[in-house]
Amino acid sequence: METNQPNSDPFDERQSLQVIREMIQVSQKKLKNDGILFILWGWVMFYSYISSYVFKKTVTTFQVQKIFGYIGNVIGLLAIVFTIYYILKERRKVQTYIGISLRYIWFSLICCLSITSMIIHNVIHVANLELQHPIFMMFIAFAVVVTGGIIRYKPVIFGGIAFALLAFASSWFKLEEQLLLEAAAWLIAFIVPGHILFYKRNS
Amino acid sequence: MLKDLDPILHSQVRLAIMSLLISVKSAEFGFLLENTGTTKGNLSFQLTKLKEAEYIDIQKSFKGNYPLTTCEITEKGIDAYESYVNSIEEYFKEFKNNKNQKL
Repeated sequence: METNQPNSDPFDERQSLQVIREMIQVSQKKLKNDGILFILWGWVMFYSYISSYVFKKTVTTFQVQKIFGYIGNVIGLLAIVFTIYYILKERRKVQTYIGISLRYIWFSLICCLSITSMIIHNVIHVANLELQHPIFMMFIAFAVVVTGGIIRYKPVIFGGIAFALLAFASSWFKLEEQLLLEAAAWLIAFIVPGHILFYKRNS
Repeated sequence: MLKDLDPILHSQVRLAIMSLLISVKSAEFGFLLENTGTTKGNLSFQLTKLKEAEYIDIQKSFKGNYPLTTCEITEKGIDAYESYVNSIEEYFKEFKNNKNQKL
């Protein structure tokens, strides 16, 4: 865009409209979700559930399980650090209402899952993962659908709906199969839409 | 010609700044500089004009050892921007009507 000197320059209605259009396009492009956090958390959780499923289904030594467990913990920790860094970096440049809303939703979700876990434990006095998994998946599905609505992106909304259906379906299965279904849910609701978002933003 | 066009907003860079700020909660000086494509000096000048008109709030702080300027649109700024966009819309409606009448 041409620079505007302190003294006003001739500027007609068409140019006004053009400036407004250009800036709206800039905002739409720059502030569009790049899908990085979707991809990151999609793969982290996918790895976590797939590796848990494989260990439950196959016979491996305790040492191997321990090593993969450590790798999972390190990946999870790195993902948390990267997420905090990414949010702070984005927030520094520009703060959007969409970004603020998404932060509230996902932070509330983490709190909600933690408290629900405690409620289940308090009521049935035992850590019942078979019950906990579908319920947690349902909460996550809710957050994914709302996120898709906020960023107005249908693949994420459909991913959230698929997540909810898989949550319901998983209530019919044992824990091992639940892990596999949850891995599939993360693939459908996070990894696929995340990669599409990333590709679209950078193309 | 358009009637009641706000002279504060009827400037290329100031309109660009307001068009960017209208869609966000707040933006850094660097973000505005990058997207309006103007010079640092000119951007500072135009931001001051908008602040004087109370269309934006400017907060100055520090990021490490460097000064950080953050801008946020005010309610008065939102009203002014909406009114400006409405005037532009009216102009184009009139323009279209006149064109149709001539045809």
